[in-house]
Amino acid sequence: MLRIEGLENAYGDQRVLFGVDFDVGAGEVVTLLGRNGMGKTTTVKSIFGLLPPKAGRVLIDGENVAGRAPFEIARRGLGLVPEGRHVFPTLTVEENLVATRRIPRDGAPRWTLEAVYGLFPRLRERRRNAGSQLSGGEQQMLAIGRALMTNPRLVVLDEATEGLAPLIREEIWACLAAIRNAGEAILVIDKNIEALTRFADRHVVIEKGRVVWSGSSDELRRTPDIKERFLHV
Amino acid sequence: MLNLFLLQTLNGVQFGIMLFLVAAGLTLIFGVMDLINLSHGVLYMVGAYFAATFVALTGSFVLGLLLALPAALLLGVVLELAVFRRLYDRDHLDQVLATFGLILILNESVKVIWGAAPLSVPVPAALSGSVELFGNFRYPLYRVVIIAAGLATAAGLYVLVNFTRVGMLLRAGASNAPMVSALGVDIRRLFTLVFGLGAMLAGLAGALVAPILSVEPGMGDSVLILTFVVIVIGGVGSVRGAFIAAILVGVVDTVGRVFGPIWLRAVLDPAAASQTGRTLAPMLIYVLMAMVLFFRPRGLFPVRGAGAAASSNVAPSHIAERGAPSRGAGFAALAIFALLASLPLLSAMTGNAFMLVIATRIMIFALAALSLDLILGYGALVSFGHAAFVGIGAYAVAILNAYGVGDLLVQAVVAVAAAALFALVTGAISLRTRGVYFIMITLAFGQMLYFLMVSLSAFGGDDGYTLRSRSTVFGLPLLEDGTVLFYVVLGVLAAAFVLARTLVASRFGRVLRGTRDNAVRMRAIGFSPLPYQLTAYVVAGCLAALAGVLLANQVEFVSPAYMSWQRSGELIVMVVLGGMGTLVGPIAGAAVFIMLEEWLAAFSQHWKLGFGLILLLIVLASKDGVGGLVKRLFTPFRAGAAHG
Repeated sequence: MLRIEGLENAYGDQRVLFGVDFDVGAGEVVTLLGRNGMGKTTTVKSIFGLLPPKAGRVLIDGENVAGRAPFEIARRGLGLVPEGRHVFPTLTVEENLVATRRIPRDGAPRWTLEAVYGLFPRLRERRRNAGSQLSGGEQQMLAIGRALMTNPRLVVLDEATEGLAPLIREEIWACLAAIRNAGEAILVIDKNIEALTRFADRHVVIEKGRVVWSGSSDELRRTPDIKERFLHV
Repeated sequence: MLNLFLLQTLNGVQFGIMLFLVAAGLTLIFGVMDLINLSHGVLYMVGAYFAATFVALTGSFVLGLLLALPAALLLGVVLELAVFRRLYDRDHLDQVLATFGLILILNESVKVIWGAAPLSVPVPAALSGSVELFGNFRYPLYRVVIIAAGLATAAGLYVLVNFTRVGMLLRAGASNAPMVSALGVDIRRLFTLVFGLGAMLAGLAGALVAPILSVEPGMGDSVLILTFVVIVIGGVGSVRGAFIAAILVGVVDTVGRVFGPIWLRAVLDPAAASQTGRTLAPMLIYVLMAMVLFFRPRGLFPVRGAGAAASSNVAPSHIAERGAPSRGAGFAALAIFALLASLPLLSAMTGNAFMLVIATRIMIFALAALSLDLILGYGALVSFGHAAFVGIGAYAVAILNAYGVGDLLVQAVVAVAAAALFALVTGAISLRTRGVYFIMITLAFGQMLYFLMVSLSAFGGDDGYTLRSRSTVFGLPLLEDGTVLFYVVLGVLAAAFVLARTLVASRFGRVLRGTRDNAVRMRAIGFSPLPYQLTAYVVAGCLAALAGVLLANQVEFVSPAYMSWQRSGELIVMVVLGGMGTLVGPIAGAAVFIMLEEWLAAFSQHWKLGFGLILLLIVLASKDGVGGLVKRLFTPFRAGAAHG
């Protein structure tokens, strides 16, 4: 449903992306891998129009949305869980979930407040708390829940478990598996290769603003030098 | 006594509620869109005019009000679609310039449409008279209605902001607008809505006070400044903060004016108490604001995350010349000074004496603009109170002159010392803040001084004061000769230019520029920016005070208008028009500004309309900011000069 072609972008004079290509099919789980500063987050920002691409196409269901406003892109079925979570600090947990909720035109929403609370019981306990009062893990749950409430067909997670305690990480991975099993497509960025190979269908490795490798989890396991060359610090 | 206190407190509350109605929209616009809208006060004025017109047309106050509100809403939406929408992505400086232009346009348009004379709106008959609130305490019914209407609006806003989906989105947008958009909400429609709502609330405030104030052009300007004080105290983006701060400011201001002198009698003799009280009362709210910002640099109810509020003021595109002063600029300066030095000869040859007067005026403002460039261009510190220093210089001359000290050198030394002291104190407080807060707090300090001078009845107060004579030099009345004055001003300007250039090229200047470009890195390599910024602020203030000394001498008249915030805005315009961070640019900018002023004034008394339009169009036409436009215009010239 999402297809990226020849995506280029830059911060001022500083070029960051030099033609990134990959795609994500309906219900598929794809990862973006690569070391820090290789352009993963820039790719995500470019897809969402938060940093309008300098060149290339962002196709959603075959329609090029590159250069459109972020809200137009999101409305086509993309849900963002950004790096740094960016929950709204002055809104309560429940308001964070409700404020940007979107009900799909074609029938009943899959994700309701009840469904999100079912996935993250912690959020129900803290629903009257302000976003700023949450722990990092709770903020991540809230950011995921907030994205789900827009009933997207593809959830984009930039740094799914960065900076979280191991137990919380496990909880997040379990929830992401539940989201995958509910039929959502997922594009995920994370450093935890082990968890990702268990969890994802395909992997896209980015190095210096270009896609240098892509393949299935099995292929990634069978070619250990990919990890050596592009992922290990 | 108790009744008087109650009366004044209620008046203060009523005033505060008016301020809140204006501030509520402004704080949302500020908070959600990160837009500095100087023209918000104008919407208040327009609301009052709409009310005056529609009440007169329909013969009914209620009907007039009901028509004025949608009209204000419409105006807000139109302005948003035509102007503000293009300003969201710009830096604060462009926003200040464009909305400053809009003030000029709307103020003058009002004069053209309704005339300069104040209009009055009768208090509706049903609401005239007074009511007994308790005991024998009576209060005008209309003011009670205003308070009630204001409170009802505040309650409505409270519900809207806290208990509706739109309110959630507003609060979410105030802390992180891009995120709201990335989650699929059309933030632009939300912006238009906020703008229309804000315009309507400001219009409502204007319409409500129309019967108790006179409706006149410029009535929005004083309200605007108070509104800024309110939202800065309350915390930008917080409606709750705006409400609390508005009532606080309203009560402190009103009660302070009446009771300040009364309370001071406890410690001073009556005459001194009333004089001191009158002087201090208008400054109270600015002192309050400075105190709040000193302890809480982001206001009482901060909304934004630290990261968002700490964004810098000036985009690099504004800095026409990023490095040390170039030789090209030096040659340009030499050419300008050579041209200036030959002007008296030219003036004598053509018999055009007025040329010399204008040139002197240009050089005086060039000096003030040059001094502002030191902090604005090289420090990225958008000071909106720089005219205060010009005023300090001018009043130093006037006051010393009145006490028989007519010597220019003595006056200059006193002026510079006073300016340095004022800069040191206000700078130390202002520089604790960043971004919009810095703009606002410098504005507030400027206003503080403005009101101090307005209250100096011995020096004419609001009307200004005419000097007995120009200053003497070593006891001789040399400055009475226009040509001598011209050369003195030229000499001071040249010396200031050399000083500024030396300063900028020195190690001190490098640290200042480094801080402008990246304060975090400067700190990381071991420089504390504050002493450098403060020094630059003090030097800039002293040079501006010299401009004030010269200005008072040229026109032989001083007035608080010298230090009004509009003057500060004009100085910023001069610097930006000429090219920030160039030192030569501001001189050229002052020349263009003053000649444009003279030229447009010759066409029509409504020259400010044209000037505002020019300013607005320049900002809107240059996608990368005014600085970028100036840079493009002069690039061929610069390239040539650099090779030459």
